[in-house]
Amino acid sequence: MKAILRLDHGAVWRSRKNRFLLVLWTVIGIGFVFAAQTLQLGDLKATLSRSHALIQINAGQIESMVVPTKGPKRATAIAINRQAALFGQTYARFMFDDEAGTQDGLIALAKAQVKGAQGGYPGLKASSLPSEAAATRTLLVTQWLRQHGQPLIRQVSDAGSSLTQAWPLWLALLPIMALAIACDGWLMMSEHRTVTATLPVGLGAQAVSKVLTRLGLTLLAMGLSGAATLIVGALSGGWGHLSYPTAVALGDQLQILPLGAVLGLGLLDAVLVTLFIASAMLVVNVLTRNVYLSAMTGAAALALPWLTPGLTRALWWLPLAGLAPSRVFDGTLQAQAGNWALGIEGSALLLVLWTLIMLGWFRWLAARQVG
Amino acid sequence: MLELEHIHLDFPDKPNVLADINLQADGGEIVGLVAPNGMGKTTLLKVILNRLHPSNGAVRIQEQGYTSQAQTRKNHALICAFPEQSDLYGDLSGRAHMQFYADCWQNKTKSIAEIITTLNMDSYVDRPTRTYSLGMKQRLCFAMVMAANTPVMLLDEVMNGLDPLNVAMISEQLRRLRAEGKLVLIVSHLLNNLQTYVDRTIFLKDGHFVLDIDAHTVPAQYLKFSGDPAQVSGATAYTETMNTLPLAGLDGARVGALASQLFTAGVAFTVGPLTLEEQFSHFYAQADEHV
Repeated sequence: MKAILRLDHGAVWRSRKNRFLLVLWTVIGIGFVFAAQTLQLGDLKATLSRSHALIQINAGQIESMVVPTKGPKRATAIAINRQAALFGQTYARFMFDDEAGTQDGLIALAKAQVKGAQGGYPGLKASSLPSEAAATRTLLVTQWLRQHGQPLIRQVSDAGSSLTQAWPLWLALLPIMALAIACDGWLMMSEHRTVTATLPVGLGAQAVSKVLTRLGLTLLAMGLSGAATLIVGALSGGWGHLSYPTAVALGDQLQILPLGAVLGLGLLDAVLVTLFIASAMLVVNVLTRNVYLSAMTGAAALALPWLTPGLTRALWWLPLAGLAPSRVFDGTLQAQAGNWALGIEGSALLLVLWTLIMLGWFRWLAARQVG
Repeated sequence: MLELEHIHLDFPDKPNVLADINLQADGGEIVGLVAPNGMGKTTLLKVILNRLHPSNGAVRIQEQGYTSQAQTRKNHALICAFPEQSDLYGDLSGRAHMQFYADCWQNKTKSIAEIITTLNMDSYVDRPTRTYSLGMKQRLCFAMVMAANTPVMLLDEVMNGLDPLNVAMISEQLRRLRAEGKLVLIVSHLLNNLQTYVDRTIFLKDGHFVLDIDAHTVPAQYLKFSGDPAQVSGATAYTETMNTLPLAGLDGARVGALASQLFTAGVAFTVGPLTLEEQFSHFYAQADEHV
């Protein structure tokens, strides 16, 4: 086992593709702070402006129709108008630098948006208003800050605010990164067939070796990217609030955790996601015997939870949710289903189970292969 | 140590690739396997390694067949095959490849450093293999098998691309491996070289072993000459360019007379045993090359 681990380790770390991915991920980490400041990610003023614009757009849509005096469309119009009013109050307090008033206003606005999202906004062709999960996250975070007398993050200006904005992006990109690293896991072996075909090493041990070496590279990439963002953010404006409250789908509902804990959970989830993807790619490699086909198959699977969230919720016992960890963490998948399996713990457990299934399937497939 | 019993293998578009192959070979022996390209030599090696499954028959290594995955692993721990150059990891050094094989096969007795020095690889062994020439890669592949240090070694075209000095060096190493008690099964087209170190040579044709020559028995002597076989009574055409007359039972005077006759007629001739090359030409003269 040690020998095959050493070989796989050498092959993975010396791969030009993998080295490129490592550098790319680190550059993303370094550049994130500057990009976030330029694009005004996490900028409270910009966020409020966008919210106002969305409310106005939706209000305009409902008002352009002949609104009945009763019924669901009337309820939508009332809900939108209420949100517009609450926003107006909140924005005014924000402009007058009234922190407590701003937070109270955001709490009231978020409550209205949660209620509105739960109602579904009948009559609106496409609701670009915050989803129930998004509104709930805002509500929980603002309530926590209000209770503890701490201020809202106004913009990305330090390490804490940088990480607060960066971690959802990392989780969103993590499966793609893991796929890019692992898409040739078994094929690297096939390309060296006569060197490796008759090793006195069991297929199970070979599979574990391939999965572990790719996990190591993925974790290093994430670690370097995180460290880069932390350092650049700190150089930009200090450490900031590294325990900023973050709402994540723990259990069967969204809960508040400090930022550091969320990052730790994210790293743990990264381990499970990468283990699953690396194991699954071993199977795909054996079936397709082609790295490009393997990568395309993997990409299609990664796209499923984003393109078909309804299917992902319906087939909750598949590891689809785990392939969209950002949507698991922010509660998007769980919110409408109310299903524990679509939260962090549930998706993690499913990833573990399906990883074992993939390893067993690979072992069976590879043993059948001859020549 | 190695036993093949009634091995039969068909391919979907080609029956009888291997037909009733039987072989018994023990440690301390070098067995040469000879055939033109496409006759099934590599296929036979794959069967021995269990990379191809015969439709009939059994392969046994130290009396154990490939009966389960666990037993297959145990058998593979006893046998190492010569890898192809194109399968080397370009980014890894030669030393890393050798160490990998030594670790996989748990070789604790033979030193990697000693193998490197013996095969004159010191100057390049720590460079990535993508920088190696064909000869360097070939030597590395042989070094990997030595590093595995298994009781059974399968060497397919180990001398390919090697200059005469390296061929001589590898040949000497093969003799040492035999002295260590290894069983070496070697496929080679350098028949003159093969003849200098093998204990047995087996010819494979049309799926069968057609000839099994023991190098330790005193070979028969022949009068070999060119031209018309009728020049010598009792001679027959052995190859397209050579005729032979067995000299068993003939006394020295008679042999001398025949030689004198041919010399007078200006016909080129030699007296001696049939070489592997001559026997190869004889057996495969009519064979089509199979792809």
